[in-house]
Amino acid sequence: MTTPLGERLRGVVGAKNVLDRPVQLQTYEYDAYLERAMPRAVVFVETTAQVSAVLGILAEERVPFVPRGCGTNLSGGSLALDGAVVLEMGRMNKVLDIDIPNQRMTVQVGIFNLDISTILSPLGYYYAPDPASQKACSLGGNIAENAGGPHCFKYGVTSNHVLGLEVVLAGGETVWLGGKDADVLGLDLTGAFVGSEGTLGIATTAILRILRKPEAVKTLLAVCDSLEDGGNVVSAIVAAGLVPATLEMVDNKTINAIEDSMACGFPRDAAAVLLIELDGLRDGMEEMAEAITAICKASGVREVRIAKDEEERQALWRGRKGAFGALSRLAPNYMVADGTVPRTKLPEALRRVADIGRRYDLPIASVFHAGDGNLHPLLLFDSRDPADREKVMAAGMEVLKVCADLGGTVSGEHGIGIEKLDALPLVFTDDDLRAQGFVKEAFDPRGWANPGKALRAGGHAAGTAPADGGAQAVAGAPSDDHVEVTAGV
Amino acid sequence: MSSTTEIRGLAPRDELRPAGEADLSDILAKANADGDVCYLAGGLTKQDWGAAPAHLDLLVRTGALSGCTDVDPDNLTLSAMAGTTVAEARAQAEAVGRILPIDPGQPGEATIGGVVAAGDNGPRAAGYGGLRDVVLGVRALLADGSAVKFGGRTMKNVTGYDMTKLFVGSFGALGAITEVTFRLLPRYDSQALLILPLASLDDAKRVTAGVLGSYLQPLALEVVSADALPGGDAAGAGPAGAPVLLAGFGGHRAAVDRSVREVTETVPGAAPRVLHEEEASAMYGHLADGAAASGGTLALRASVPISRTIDVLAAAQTYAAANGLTLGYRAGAARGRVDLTLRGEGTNAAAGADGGAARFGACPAHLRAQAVDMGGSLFVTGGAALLPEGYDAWGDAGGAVAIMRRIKERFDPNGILAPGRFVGGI
Ligand SMILES: Cc1cc2nc3c(=O)[nH]c(=O)nc-3n(C[C@H](O)[C@H](O)[C@H](O)COP(=O)(O)OP(=O)(O)OC[C@H]3O[C@@H](n4cnc5c(N)ncnc54)[C@H](O)[C@@H]3O)c2cc1C
Repeated sequence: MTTPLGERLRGVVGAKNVLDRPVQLQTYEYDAYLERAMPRAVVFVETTAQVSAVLGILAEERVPFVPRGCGTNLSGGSLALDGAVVLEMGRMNKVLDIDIPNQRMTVQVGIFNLDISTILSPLGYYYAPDPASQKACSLGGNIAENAGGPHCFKYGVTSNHVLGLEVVLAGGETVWLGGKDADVLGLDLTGAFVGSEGTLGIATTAILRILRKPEAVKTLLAVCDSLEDGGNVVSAIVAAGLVPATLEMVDNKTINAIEDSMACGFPRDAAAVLLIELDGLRDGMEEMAEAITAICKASGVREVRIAKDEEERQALWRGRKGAFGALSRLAPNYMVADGTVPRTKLPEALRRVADIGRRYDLPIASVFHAGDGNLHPLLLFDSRDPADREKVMAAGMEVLKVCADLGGTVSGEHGIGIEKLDALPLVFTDDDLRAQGFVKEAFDPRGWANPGKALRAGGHAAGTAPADGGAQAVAGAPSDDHVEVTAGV
Repeated sequence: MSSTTEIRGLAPRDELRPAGEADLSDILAKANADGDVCYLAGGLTKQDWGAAPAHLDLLVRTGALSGCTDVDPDNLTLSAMAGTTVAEARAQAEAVGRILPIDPGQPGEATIGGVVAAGDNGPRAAGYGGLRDVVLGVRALLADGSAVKFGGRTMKNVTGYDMTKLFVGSFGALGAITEVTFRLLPRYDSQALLILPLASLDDAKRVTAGVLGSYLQPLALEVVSADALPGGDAAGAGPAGAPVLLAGFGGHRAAVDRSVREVTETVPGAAPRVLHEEEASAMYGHLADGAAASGGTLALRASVPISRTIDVLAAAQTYAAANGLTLGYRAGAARGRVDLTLRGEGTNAAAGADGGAARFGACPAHLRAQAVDMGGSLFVTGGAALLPEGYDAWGDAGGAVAIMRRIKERFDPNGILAPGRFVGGI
């Protein structure tokens, strides 16, 4: 059925580029979190001018909106609450400028993360943030979530690599934040926008810092007899002043799931493996690898393997990056608790997470960014079983509480979305949240941008429902087993 | 009543030295209620940067909010109260074998809060990253005195908006920073700083572009005028007015040695000097400080895309030559940061009848227009007395300034946090 709104939107993007029949909208009902919500319509946009025109119409019609990249976020960020219209960004994927002398790339944000580095590779450059989902997630989603990845241990997260943004605000105004230079004039609005989960407006174009590919890379696999040994190695490497490019950990359950699905060469009997990569100049790299091997040995690591060629190295990374997907063999669903702790607290955090798993009788697999203290215990369950689901929600919240108690925080890279709204008071006071509300009001005074996410409108005490009945727009437990949390991966 | 310190010619009604955070909170809450304009200051090293506040009632000194509250070498983090001097925080990091990766001028006076608020990135930001990259968390007091905290002690944190970024470089417009948490770096196995006299700015452009396009990862890549070097080194410089390159590296000894060798080879026949370890650190300190500012000096800072760094120097050189001014410069070619000083020859230029206005007055706008053309910006960091009334210290931040104003209005609805001081009059 064509609504007047639908007609207006078709006037902007063309008849084929608006979906508003329920059967068409089903694909856009969910992301990689566990809830569902039916959008009012989905609009495929191709230019900034179209985004601007669409947001102009939506403001006139008083309809909220949600930008959507690839729907791989794990916190419900791209669900359309309050009958919002989804703007599907995937067609805005053009590279506008590759500026090698300035080490910058200007690109539309619908591009897949991995495509950026693939395009840059022949030029000898790459884009550092490399979320494990990089084949299947968009730069826009990365910007909105401030995504991390294995190489963020050395190079920093998305916000360290995004220097300028073209943004369309609710109402349709287009504005540039930041630019090609490193030190911005005025408040760092680019910095504030990155990680704002689509709640401040829609990013359409980004200026990225691009890096010269390192001259040499060396990849080591430390095979550990306990998860704690692995945690101790991480602490010891950091304490020794070594800065590898990655320090990634994979536990036994995950190792076996990976080997079952793609045989990457991880030893099945290891309690955990650590994937340690060194990069930089060729000079001194051998010695650094030896120093790391010595630290591993001193920390009780059973064996240190060194990838002997690029093929072996790629196999290890394929395993690490495919870990979430492989784990879907073990249970219909998983919930990732994205808590982060000071690195020194990693062994204790791992111990307490294991306790929680035992107490709730929930299988937990762990695969995470150990160097950053960013845990990812995956709580394995079956969302068709309401009791199981409830258990997982409670256990997940306990994990986040452990992280907060250890001086860490409740989300390292996956975002708050709708998932962790109740966890915000674990780390923020009402005043902290009020100040964040100032930023929201300054960008989006009427609250049209991705309502019900990241921050609660009007009052932040735990348990407050999103404004305008957002809670009711979120479907409860899905009615069938269609929730496929590994969607799009 | 004790005499007060003037800020840009404005005498505050009172100068307050809160004993701690609670005290500062009370001061702000009262000022907010009474509508008294406050100017927060640490070591007062950046008061000449940017615009003067439109009005001033209270000067609030943060010096007593001092000391490192947490130093965690294994987690690689350090937290310090806002009034702690950079030198002290740096010493604390060094005492546990770590580097505090910030590099502002006047570390003995400049405070953590002031440096973060001013976003002062020095030569080594090329390798360390900027303050926006190394600040992990901020605690602050809002205009009404309420305490807030953002970020924390973890490397990654996407819990809530990234308010930390908003406070870095905010010039006090949004609140009083009370504590900052930094990420630390491990100490380098080895470090070296290569000093290489160059023949011309063209030469500088060629050499820096070569380094930036190579595998090398400079810790600093500065192109400076000879007067930016300590006396002894200036003597070793090339032809009068010619630039000197300083290329710094840190890391594994083998990698550092190779880096120094490779850069040296790009300038055949030059007379290189290499400083190691403490000597190199001392030189960085000298570079970050810049030449001591004197009355008749106009100081500017530009930020441009890196490949244009040397073009800013060329533009400044042309302006200086045409107007009979002497140019000094320090330019971070791997970050696009350019610090310029312009002074009148010999005499106090400001004293000339309208000489000051003619020679200096047009300079910021003239050079800013070129920086903006290159994709950057430029602001005034000293010598306001040489400029005509109503000069523009910051330049235009474009469409984004409307959002900045709305943010300011919400954080500081009564306009008590030095309004007028920052970009767009906020
Ligand atoms: C198997 C798997 C592995 C993963 N590994 C990692 C990992 O290693 N590191 C990591 O950080 N994350 C990881 N994730 C999470 C997810 O991939 C990231 O959050 C990613 O950034 C989301 O991108 P997307 O394009 O799918 O965005 P979506 O899920 O479509 O959207 C995410 C959020 O971004 C907003 N948004 C999208 N586009 C825009 C735009 N143009 N402007 C403003 N807002 C916008 C949406 O409204 C939403 O709030 C993983 C997920 C899966 C399923």
